Amino acid sequence: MKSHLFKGTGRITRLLFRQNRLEILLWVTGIIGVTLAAALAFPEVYRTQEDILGFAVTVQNPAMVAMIGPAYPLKGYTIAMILAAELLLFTAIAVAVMNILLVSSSTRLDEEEGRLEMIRALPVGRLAYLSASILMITAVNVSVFLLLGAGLAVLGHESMMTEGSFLYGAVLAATGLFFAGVTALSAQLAESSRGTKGLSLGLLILAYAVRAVGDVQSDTLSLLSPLGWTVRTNVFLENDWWPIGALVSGAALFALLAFYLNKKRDM
Amino acid sequence: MSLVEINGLVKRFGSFTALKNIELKMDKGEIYGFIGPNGAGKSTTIRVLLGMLKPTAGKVTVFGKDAWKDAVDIHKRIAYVPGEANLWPNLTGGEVIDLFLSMRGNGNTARRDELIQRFDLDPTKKCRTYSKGNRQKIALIAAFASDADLYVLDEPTSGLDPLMERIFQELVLEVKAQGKSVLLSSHILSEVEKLCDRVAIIREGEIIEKGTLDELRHLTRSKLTVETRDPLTSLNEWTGVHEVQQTGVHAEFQVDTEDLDQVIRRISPHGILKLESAPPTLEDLFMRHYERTGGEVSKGGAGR
Repeated sequence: MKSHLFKGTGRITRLLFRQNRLEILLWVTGIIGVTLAAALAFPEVYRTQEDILGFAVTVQNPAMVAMIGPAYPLKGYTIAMILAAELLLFTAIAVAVMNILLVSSSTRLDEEEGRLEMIRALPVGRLAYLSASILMITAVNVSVFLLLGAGLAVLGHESMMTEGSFLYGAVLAATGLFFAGVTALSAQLAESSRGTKGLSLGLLILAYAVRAVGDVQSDTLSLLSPLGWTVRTNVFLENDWWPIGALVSGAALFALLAFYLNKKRDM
Repeated sequence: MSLVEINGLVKRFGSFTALKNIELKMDKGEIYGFIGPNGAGKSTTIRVLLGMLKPTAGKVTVFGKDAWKDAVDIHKRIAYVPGEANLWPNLTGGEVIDLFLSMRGNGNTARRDELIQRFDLDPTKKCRTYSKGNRQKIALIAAFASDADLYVLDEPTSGLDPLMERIFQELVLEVKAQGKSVLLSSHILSEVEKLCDRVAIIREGEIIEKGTLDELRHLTRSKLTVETRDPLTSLNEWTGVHEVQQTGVHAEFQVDTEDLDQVIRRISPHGILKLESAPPTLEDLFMRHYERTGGEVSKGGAGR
């Protein structure tokens, strides 16, 4: 009986990919392109250890910490850490925005425009469309993880070692998934697709602000924000994977809530 | 057991009651018309029928199954056309049609091709390039190319030109000839008049009248134009006669359909030289219902 709820998910997933393929392509190549371009350029910009140290000192000051997250220790600073410091947080935000836009368009917007209605009149499960949307966005995030991880490991500077590179890709993907979950839930709660986007983007901004204050003042505060987890992987140094677990768990929780509401709610 | 049974359906959205108490039974092989003003509750009722909205109270069954719980099973035998088909901009028309046919599982490619030709549609163009009417055609083709038992059409011809409207009507009659059933919600009274066996009129969430067109006609008036040998005396005092315009032996007036027999009998002895009558249209019926239930439509003077 339960399988009835998801009937047709596969076909709809294909439909969503087809419908959104240009957006997906542009975002993914943009994100990966910019990151790899920076990874390839930085060794040319920061040629000596003095150059690297110069950068490392700059990002120690509280204004920078508020902007890009906690600084790595000065000793043993590498090109890889420069990449992470410069790009990780903002790229994660870009990935989050991509997720918010894609999920809201394949949930609330499709509902508003009557596309969902036409599919729901078919022998399709009540949760199929939402499931398809989640599958699509998970696949997109996973491809960012794999492509970026492999790209950095293979093409990047020698300081971008394998584990670090894949952790880098993973934290971007996980942050994206977290906000995909947030958006899926917002889509069930908000009054319109604009409301869905507004709510989700608003929460993203809030997450950034809380982390900014927390990173300067109090670790505990920063840990209340998902972006606080994003900047705490110590990637290319300690390589802590717990933020991945936290972000993915958060995503799963929001998605489950979204499914629960979707099941009960009128279409 | 009826094909569709709606008993005591109530639907509330928060404090707003969209459907107050809907009772409707539809039999196999009939074309059932569903008419009412904007906001009356037609689309809401259809959505409940299709398991998209959960009833606040009441029982809704299709093919004997519960509309909400058994929606997936029911939908295997239903084809739905919405009032405004907003499709997927990046897909071509043909891809959308094939998507629907493959998801419903009972499509007929020969029929699909035939319909594409009849509607004169180019299926290779992307949906974003289609006009509203062409998008509507896609939805219609996707529905009628399937072998459904019940066609649920919610104002399906909005945006179609008269030629395509005619093709649509042919299609409806064709499926009826195959023993299928059609629930047609429409604003276009002439369309309902041509196609429907029975009609339900909904207003403000309630069904105010239902029955066959013939049964409903008795609630309206016929327009008579007569010329008699001897002038009709005191015509405006006759029971069931309204809006009399009389000059000598020539008279034009309206007769309540239920009094038609008695009026004709009274005219006869005066010697009928000429008698023309126009049957009540659904429009008359519809508009009159507004007046009777104290609607906002004003009672216009001449011409009714």
